[in-house]
Amino acid sequence: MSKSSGTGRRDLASIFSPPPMKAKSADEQRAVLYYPEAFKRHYMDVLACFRDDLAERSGKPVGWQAIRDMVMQPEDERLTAELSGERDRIKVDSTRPRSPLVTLEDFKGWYHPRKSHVPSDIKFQYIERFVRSLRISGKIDEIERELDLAQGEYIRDALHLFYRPVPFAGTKVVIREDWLGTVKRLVSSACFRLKAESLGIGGGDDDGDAECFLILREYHGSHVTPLDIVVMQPSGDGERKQMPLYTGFLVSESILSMFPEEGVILIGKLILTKESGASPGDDGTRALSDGGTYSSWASFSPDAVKLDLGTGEDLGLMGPVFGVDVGGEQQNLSVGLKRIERDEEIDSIVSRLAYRYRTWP
Amino acid sequence: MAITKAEIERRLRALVGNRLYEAARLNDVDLLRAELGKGRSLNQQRPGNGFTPLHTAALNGSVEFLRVALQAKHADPWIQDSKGRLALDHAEVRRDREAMRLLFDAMYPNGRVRFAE
Repeated sequence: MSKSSGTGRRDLASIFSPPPMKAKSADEQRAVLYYPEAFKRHYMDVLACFRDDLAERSGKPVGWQAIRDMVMQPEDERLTAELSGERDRIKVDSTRPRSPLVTLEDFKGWYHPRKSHVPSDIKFQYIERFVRSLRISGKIDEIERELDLAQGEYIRDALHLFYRPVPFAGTKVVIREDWLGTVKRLVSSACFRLKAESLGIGGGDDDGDAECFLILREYHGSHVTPLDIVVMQPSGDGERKQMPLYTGFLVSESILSMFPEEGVILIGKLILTKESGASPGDDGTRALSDGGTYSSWASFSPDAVKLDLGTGEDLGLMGPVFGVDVGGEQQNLSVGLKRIERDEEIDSIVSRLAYRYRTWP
Repeated sequence: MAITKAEIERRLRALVGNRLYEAARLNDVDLLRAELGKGRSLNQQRPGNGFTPLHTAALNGSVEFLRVALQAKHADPWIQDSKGRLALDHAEVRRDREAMRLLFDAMYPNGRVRFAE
């Protein structure tokens, strides 16, 4: 508490007056402005791919100066406007003013094959702004789709090291090649649908129209198949809203041939994550959890898949996803999803699923 | 920085009766205006996932909500949720270009970055 000098009385003015405003120092700015290195590297990769794409489309090489000018266009324009008042001293029309905040030399350094440094947080702001504006224009959709698919393949390969069906039990062969062919036909690029009547939480009349889709990608020898669980919800204006709920993988644990008429049963495990991090209600669904691994029997047949939702906590987490009202149920519940053909709507859903949430360490 | 139990309780109490998230999910502009009139903040974050109403609106594609909400002077589109994501990141994953444009314009007013050297 401050006291007025000499009198010993409290200086009330200093208590009630607001503290003096001070501009943020460079250190304070850095504390607020922070980009993880992986985030920067991803954006720099996108920018490099954009440059290559531009060169391919135009049929001539695109230099870093051209990219730098695109990135810094707002700053360059502001500088031009500022300098236009000094036309008598600077020839603005013939000499293009370039902001010194980010220069060609910066770009050459960031993309030098023998250098590994990334832009500082302050300079990276301009790259981030440019890449986000490209995203809005749709110019990097294909680039990001390819990068995301590549990331999915990388994770699939990593999971393959941990999850693979065991082909032998001692000396006895338990997985036959022809079964694998059957599993591939049943699983690869398959799509299943469930009318999920209890998914809506708004209590409106339209809730009954919600549908839950289980969409798998290509199955191949790694026995790890990427999948997505998507909810299509009525949005009130006759349209339907796509809500990517869970993303993950179906990993094959074992493959059994039951009776000949029942065909092959794939026993798989669903590894699911709710990438958005949304809690129940934020995305209009009752589905809980922001991640987890769920052991689940998956029995694939030519016209459906039957998923065993387990009991207890697993059931509590997975039940709402598939519209199963758990309600204190402790017994084992299963849910059947009908196989559907891929049509334009499914292709449209899949194309929009290409853009993933990314987590930056 | 860890928050205290008392702080969590205070935040939970503040959230009780806060219908901004419902307005954000349902794209309900009238409800948004009513809640703002009661003094609710668009920058308030859910204790668990750190969502602000802007995150919820971006996740659900509530464009009208965003249009009105981003006109409020206090709305901060740079707030990150507990996974470090901006509201714009949620709109980008869905490639909701209208929502992306609204949030981008709010984040870079007149094309300016936050911290210029």
